Amino acid sequence: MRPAKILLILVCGAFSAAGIAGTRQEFTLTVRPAEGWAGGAMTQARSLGFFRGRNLGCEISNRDGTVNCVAADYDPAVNGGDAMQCATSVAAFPSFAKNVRAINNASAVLLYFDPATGICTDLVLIQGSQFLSDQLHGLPAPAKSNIVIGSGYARGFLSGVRYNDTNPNEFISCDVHATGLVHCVARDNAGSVAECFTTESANPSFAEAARAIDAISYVGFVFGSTGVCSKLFLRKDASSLP
Amino acid sequence: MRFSKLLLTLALAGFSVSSVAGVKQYVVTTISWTEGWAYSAMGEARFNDRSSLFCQFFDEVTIGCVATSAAGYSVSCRANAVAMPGFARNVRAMNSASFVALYWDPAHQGTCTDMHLIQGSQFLPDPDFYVPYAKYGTIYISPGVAAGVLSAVRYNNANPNEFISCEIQANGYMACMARDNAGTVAACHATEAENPSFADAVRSINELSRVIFHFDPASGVCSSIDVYQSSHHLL
Repeated sequence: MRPAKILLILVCGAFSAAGIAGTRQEFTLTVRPAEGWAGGAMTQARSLGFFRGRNLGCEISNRDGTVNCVAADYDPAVNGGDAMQCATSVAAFPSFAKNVRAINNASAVLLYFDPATGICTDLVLIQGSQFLSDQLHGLPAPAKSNIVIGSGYARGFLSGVRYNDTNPNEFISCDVHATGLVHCVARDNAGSVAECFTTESANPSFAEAARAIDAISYVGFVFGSTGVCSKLFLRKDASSLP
Repeated sequence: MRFSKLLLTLALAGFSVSSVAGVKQYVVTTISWTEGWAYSAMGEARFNDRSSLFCQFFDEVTIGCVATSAAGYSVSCRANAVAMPGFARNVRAMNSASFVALYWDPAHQGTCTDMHLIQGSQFLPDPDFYVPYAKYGTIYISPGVAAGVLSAVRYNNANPNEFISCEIQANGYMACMARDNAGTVAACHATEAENPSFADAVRSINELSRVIFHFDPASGVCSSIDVYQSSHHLL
């Protein structure tokens, strides 16, 4: 399955996990070299200890503007797995480079590439509460908060929602495709869903805001009857950190 | 005291804290109304003194920032994202590894004049659990180059003196700095006008990042700043 619709699947509940806190979406690193894609949530794609068999990462060289991404889902339990790498450049694919720079601990990353050439063809970046780590690093939970959905709008604190034990069904996220699609979605505890779409070419500042979403973010979006985003609100707040 | 030399001060150990892990720079949210500045560390504020600092986009043009001290005193200023694009980019880049210094004109309070953003290992919040990356978390410095992984350096119990960070001001001035456990310091500087891609790299630094910067040791000018965002770098 090409996971381009993974966010919609989440909305439908098929892959969502109502955890001990807000929604956590299980998105284990998966690599399909023959099919030309790899993806996973950054906080779930790390290797533990000194074992380096699992990895999802991208690097931009400012010397020559090349962008290189790698993914490996080696599983020591079965002594097997796959690996891939692809390349592009800042000049050839500037929005791909912007997505790479925006990767953080609230990110799920879907890499697409041409298996024949090894050239990266898309990077879908999903910045959402559902991908924040399970661990609070021993720190106190942030102030609990809820997703608010009204007529034509939705809003919420990423960490406040993710680490709130009383709202197991809630999340908020925005995804940005390197090919230009921008999509935001939120679900409250009653299961109500709000979402909107736009494009980077139509609203470049929306794309920049979506890329900037991370664990310290408060996000809100406004939309009309057509489902087109008319406003994307972003706040970076120290008090919202886990 | 304007905090333009904060990073340099840290390198000289005046404010650095060698903790149980890598260097943590202890930051208490501080406001000076008369001098027109406020600063805080995003990852530390709510744990150190229950203070806060936030910035938000009211719309595509207007940005508002508010800093609140532990005593409950607040200050706010606004900036125009069109007139100050570097300020807007810095706001979007704020994360849990950020130190933020806000400036405003004391004579015209309410108008932001600069934001000084430092993205560094020393500002990541304290951990309280076993961290499995000690072996990898060291700063590498040799003539003309320095490198390190933010989280691995910050949470490595074996290297209490190490850090790596880069800073950028809204006016485009940039500097990167690293210190290894022996106290060796490497640093370089650049400007966004001359190297916009360097500024993009600096703003992208977060707890997933490995940072490597090259420079001319004679002039101290950065020749490259590269950032690798990887799940393997996460705690």
